[in-house]
Amino acid sequence: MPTRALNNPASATAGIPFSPGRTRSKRRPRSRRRTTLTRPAGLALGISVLWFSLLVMIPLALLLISSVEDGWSTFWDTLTNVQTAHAIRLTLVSALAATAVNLVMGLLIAWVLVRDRFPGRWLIELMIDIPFALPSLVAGLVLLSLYGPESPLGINVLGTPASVFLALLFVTLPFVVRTVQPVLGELDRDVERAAHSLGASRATTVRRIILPALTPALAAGATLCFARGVGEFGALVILSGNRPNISEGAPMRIQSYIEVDNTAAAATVAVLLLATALTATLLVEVLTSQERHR
Amino acid sequence: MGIEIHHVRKTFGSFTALEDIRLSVPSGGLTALLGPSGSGKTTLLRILGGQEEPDAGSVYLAGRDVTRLPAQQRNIGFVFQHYAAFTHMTVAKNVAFGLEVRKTPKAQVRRRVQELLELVQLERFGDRLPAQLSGGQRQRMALARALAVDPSVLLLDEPFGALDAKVRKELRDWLRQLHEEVHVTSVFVTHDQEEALEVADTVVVMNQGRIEQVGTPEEIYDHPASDFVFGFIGEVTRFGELRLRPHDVEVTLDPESGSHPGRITRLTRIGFEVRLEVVLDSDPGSLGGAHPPVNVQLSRTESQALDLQQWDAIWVRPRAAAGGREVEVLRVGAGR
Amino acid sequence: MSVTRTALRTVVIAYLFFLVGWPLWMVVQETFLSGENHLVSTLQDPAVRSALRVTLAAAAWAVVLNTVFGITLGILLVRHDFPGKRLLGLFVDLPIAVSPIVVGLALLLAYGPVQGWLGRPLAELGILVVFSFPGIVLAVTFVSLPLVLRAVIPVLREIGIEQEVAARSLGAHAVQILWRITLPSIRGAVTYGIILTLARAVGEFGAVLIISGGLVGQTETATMAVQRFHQGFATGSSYAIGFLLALIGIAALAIVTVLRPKEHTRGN
Repeated sequence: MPTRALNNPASATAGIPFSPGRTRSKRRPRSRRRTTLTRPAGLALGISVLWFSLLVMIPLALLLISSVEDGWSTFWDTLTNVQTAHAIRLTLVSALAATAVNLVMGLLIAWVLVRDRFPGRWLIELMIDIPFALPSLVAGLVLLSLYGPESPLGINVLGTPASVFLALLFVTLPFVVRTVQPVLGELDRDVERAAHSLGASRATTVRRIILPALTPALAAGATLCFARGVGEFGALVILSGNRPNISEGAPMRIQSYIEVDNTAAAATVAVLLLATALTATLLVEVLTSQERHR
Repeated sequence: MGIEIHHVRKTFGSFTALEDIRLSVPSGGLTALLGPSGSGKTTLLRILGGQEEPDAGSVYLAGRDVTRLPAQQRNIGFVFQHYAAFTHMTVAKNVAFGLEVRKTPKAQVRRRVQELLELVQLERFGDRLPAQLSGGQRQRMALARALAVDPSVLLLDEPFGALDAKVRKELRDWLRQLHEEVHVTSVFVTHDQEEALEVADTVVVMNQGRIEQVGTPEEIYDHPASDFVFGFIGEVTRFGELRLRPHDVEVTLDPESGSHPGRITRLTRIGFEVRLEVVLDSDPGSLGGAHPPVNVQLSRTESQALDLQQWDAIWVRPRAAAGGREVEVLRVGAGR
Repeated sequence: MSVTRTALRTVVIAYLFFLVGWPLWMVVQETFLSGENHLVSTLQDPAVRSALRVTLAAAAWAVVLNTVFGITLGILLVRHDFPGKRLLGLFVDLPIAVSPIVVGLALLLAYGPVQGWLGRPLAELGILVVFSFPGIVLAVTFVSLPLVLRAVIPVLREIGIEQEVAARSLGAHAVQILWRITLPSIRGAVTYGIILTLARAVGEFGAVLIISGGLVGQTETATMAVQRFHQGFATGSSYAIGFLLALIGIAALAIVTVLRPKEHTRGN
């Protein structure tokens, strides 16, 4: 049986920048790096990779280069600068706190969405996705209306460290819910019944059966949430008031470095955020592929 | 002191799943709840297991009224069709679960788990995850898990339903043997009459929320209490006014008393068995309408002795000892 | 049991009400119910119209570029094997995880007219990328890059190659297979990805802020106009544009919800 619709051994290896071997076998052994590209497919890949490099890889690489251009000591000095260190710490602490709250609330929301039935449930479904749909700048405005100087609740977070936390809480709301919800929905209810029949209480069943099954999804959701939180910019612009050493987060710090044309310092902080994003992407990949192999 | 079910009723909306069920299952027996889907057999099992509450009536397990008792307090073992394995725990941990929940001392848990894994022949698989086991092994693990807590009753919901034919057969024999060893009162649900007749010592045939018949496999097969049971428990063919098993039709080359001429329109050989479809020359009964072809089941030896071929003209009649039933006139049109 | 259930339900509803529901309602109130109708007056401002035009044009470019890229790479990643495939698949997800401000800075370093590694030679040729419309396109394309691709990949995996093999056995050549079998079967996924791209591109702020230069009436985008009005204490106008952007986002969300492959809901 031919394995690939577009497989054409005669022209298989031509025109691809990095194809080492020649494709003869129709069945591809998994371990060997072989290519099944035809000439047009190879060309398409070449163009795609070129575009991707121009748009993403080269700019990001230049970012790395700029950050260490003036030497490692400059890199280190930037990160230990009082104002910058404070901004980074605020961002990391706020993102961690928002992730922690999301882990709990996200799980509860997912639970209610999967296991509970009541009129108006669709409204909850809708509200979960709104942070995805709103431009983050608008998210800032939205929060400002209830938690700003004119708050009807009398809570004003504008310009306080809490504003960063609140902004992140809003923009990261969907991640844990949306990763946990499908897994929870797919859980075999018989497994819980089995635990009950063996004498396990509801609490024990949740702790020993349900939570362990949800752990990969929770971890993936939390990672996404953390990565998004660390990088959030728009909502902070509106809500944090950008007060140095008080409510200035790392992304804002990058912006102020750019405004004073200190691109090396800006790149240094940016690389830190980039490394966080990269680690998160990798982690999610590992966690979700583990889940797939179950 | 096995299981007593008194006047149990259960409805789901307008659908009546169980209607006034009365049943008494002897202690230590292996009982099959047999019926087509929608007959209420699974609902009844789930009521025994505490996963469903009856609308009316009461349930006694080992002499104790458990009608309103949650599953956790019933001390039952439940085995599910799709194993319901705890996927993130090893096989040994799965088996140990019920004991750990009961705060059994660690050493005792270890001993009991070892014992059970040996019983279900999984002693070498204790450290594996359920995902690394085959379907049959997983179901044996689920059985060990259910037996670990010394349940007063073992309930099995289509335990072989998810397995392929060969493993299914092996596991049936094995369950029969296991039951001989542990002797716990067991009830299993199945829609497969062969499985019920082969494994159980008591068969409860259910249909449309009611119990049609309770009896040993022999009683059920030889003396079906209703038309439904007769039809559900095995193949049925019609001969005039009689409904009978295809293997209760006798084939001869020459006319005998009570026999009727016909022609073989189809002859199929399946291993040791030969199946004939015989179109009769005329209706031996007086029911009217077109008489359907008579299905006949012979052994290969019988067929060869008569040297039967397709299109042969032959004579058929019900065997002398055939346990046939008179056709209820109303049902003829419906056909099977 | 039902006590726990009610408690959980209450906690969840209260949390979402205070975090999302009420604040959102306040914005609607601010825009429509505060006396004058800011939405109409703001939309008459030529600078605002220009900003909306720039935003939509850039988003349209992002949709075109990312759709072509997404479909092409999707087919390559699912239907072919080549060295570096796994790595490419990993990196392609990166753009949505990167902070928009980092995206802006990276693009500035590459395409800036003064210090840009590629930007300076281009500027010498008279092509200005950063601080002009192409820069905005690059920024919004970057941040929404993998959305079509991510939507397409699972569907391509799902449909498998049977239909393609069948078509080929009937004598169709590669281009015919692509146009008549593969593309029609991923149409839904592509639409889904396009709407996500559109919403993301329209709402982008951080990257655009660094790249566009923010010339009012020329390279200012809608989100930047929101910020300008906000800083100038023109709260009404700022909320009006913000509301408009929110509407686009929520409309996209509604369409996506309808298009989303139905999760099979189980009984009981």
